[in-house]
Amino acid sequence: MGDKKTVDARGMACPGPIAKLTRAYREAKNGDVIEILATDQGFIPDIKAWIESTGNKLIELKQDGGVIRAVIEVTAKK
Amino acid sequence: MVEEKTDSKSTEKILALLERPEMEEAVANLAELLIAMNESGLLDLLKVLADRGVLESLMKYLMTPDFLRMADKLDKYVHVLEESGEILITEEKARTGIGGLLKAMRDPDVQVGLTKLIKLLKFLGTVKEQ
Amino acid sequence: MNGEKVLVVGGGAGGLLVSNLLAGDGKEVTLVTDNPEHYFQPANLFIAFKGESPESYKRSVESLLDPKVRLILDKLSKLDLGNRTALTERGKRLEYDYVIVAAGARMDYNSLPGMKENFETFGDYYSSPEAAVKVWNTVSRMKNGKLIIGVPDLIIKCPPAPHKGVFLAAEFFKKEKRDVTVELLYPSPHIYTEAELAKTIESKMKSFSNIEYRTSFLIDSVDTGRKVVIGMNGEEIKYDALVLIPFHKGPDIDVNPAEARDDDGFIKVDKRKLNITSYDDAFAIGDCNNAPTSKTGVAAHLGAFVVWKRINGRNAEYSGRTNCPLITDDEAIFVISDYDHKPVGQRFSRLKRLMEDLFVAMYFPSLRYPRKFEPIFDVYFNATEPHILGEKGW
Repeated sequence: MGDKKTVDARGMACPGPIAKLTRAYREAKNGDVIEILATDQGFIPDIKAWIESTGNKLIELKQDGGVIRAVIEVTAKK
Repeated sequence: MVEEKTDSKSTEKILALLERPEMEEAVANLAELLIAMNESGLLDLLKVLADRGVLESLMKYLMTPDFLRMADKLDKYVHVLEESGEILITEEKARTGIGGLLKAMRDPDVQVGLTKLIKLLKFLGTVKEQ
Repeated sequence: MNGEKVLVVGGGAGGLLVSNLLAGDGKEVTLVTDNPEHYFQPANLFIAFKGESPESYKRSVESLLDPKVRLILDKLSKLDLGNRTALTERGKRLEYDYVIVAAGARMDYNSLPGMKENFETFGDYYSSPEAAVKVWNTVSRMKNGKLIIGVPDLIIKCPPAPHKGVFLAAEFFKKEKRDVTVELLYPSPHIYTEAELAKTIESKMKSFSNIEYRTSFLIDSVDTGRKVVIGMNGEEIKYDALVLIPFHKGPDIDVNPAEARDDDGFIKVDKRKLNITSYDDAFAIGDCNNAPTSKTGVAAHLGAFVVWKRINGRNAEYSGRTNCPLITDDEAIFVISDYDHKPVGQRFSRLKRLMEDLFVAMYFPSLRYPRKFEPIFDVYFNATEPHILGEKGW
């Protein structure tokens, strides 16, 4: 079981939550879990596209009130 | 006030500039220009225009979203106006009666044109005194 | 209240503007900056891809400052928010009634293996005009092959700058009839972080036969020996020349309390009031803060005016407004957004490119005489608010 990191991107305008996710992903290794919190609605299609193109695993994607919570497992790093 | 002077060179630079031979003619020309501008009232006009208040008012007048959008597509507007204008101002000899009208309405371009005309009519019907 | 001591840290656009504004109110302003020269950063693109001279875009900080401002050429090393004191590297101790940190972002080349070596070879158009000259030296001589512009991280100033580099480089190679492909490596799923604008930009890129791009490409390292960019999934892409956008961190100032800076060293602020955490006499504007919006000169500019008004007891807030230009040789779009609105739809046009040229022409005078130029900027910003341009865009 790897490390867990939370990325808080709530209230972020452009460049958005993907920017913070990219930084957290760089530090992470396979097996780590990253939780991202965002309020920008564009994040939902973005995280799905990110998961699909990078090949990592999406464990959870939920919206509660105005806050979107995505949890990913890092699996695609070499 | 600079704690550590780095710019004493700029005074030297200006003096060096003034000592260039070309500067004598340039300054003489500038003096003539200033006198002419002052005597014609142009200098006073420029002073007024240089007042940011005038420029600001002009910008406020122009800078509406519609103006910005139109200015953005100026080349397209010019093209359409030029082509349409050409048709409007050129003397036309051919006359179209009811028969000709019905025949023209079979042309797909004319049909698209009619759709545009109807859209225009619809918009015109909504223009209110504001 | 006049005679209040204001300490401004950083001689960039934000620092110069806020210093000149407050000096005009009769405040006792001290500006501490380590570089005696101020340069117009967007011009690094013109230096890198058009071979323009850095001198055209540089002015001494002194020439851009109200003479009433006390200028100290030194690096600020410590800032004590509780005691309202600061210390410079050379040991000068300063006390203040207000402090405004406008120290910019620090470029970091160590977060990616190979980045430092690559920077030494090819330079970039982010670090300095001199580094941009290095890029021009490569670009002007390239006859064939591939130039890669790589974006390892998205927390960067001027988010459209990577794309601008791609367009300007491609246009240069096309004009000079060089057989060079320009490739953009970008880490997000779309070619720009905002999906709608990404479509506009992608469409523009596709109209060039010598531009390629990869989305969701996460750069892991660079092998400068084999001239290969390596992705986090192991994929390798070969290059002949490589320009990497450096990582951006907060300024290198020892701030007390340490909690005032985030993990990357950016100074934590209230995103609208721009004061540093809970301190109402300390502010941070521009690239050095952690405001959740793009890092751009516009943010520094608007931030300077907000802080100036707040120090004078007026109610002003920063809306998060951006206005980042994405230029090609002939056209431009602006990324216009704020905290409450995502970027407005844009159309590439010559009008916007002209407006950008006008801004460049006004830049230095507008720093020196902010009060005189502000009405013009105000009209523009008000007319182009995201909620006014709306769905129709511009």
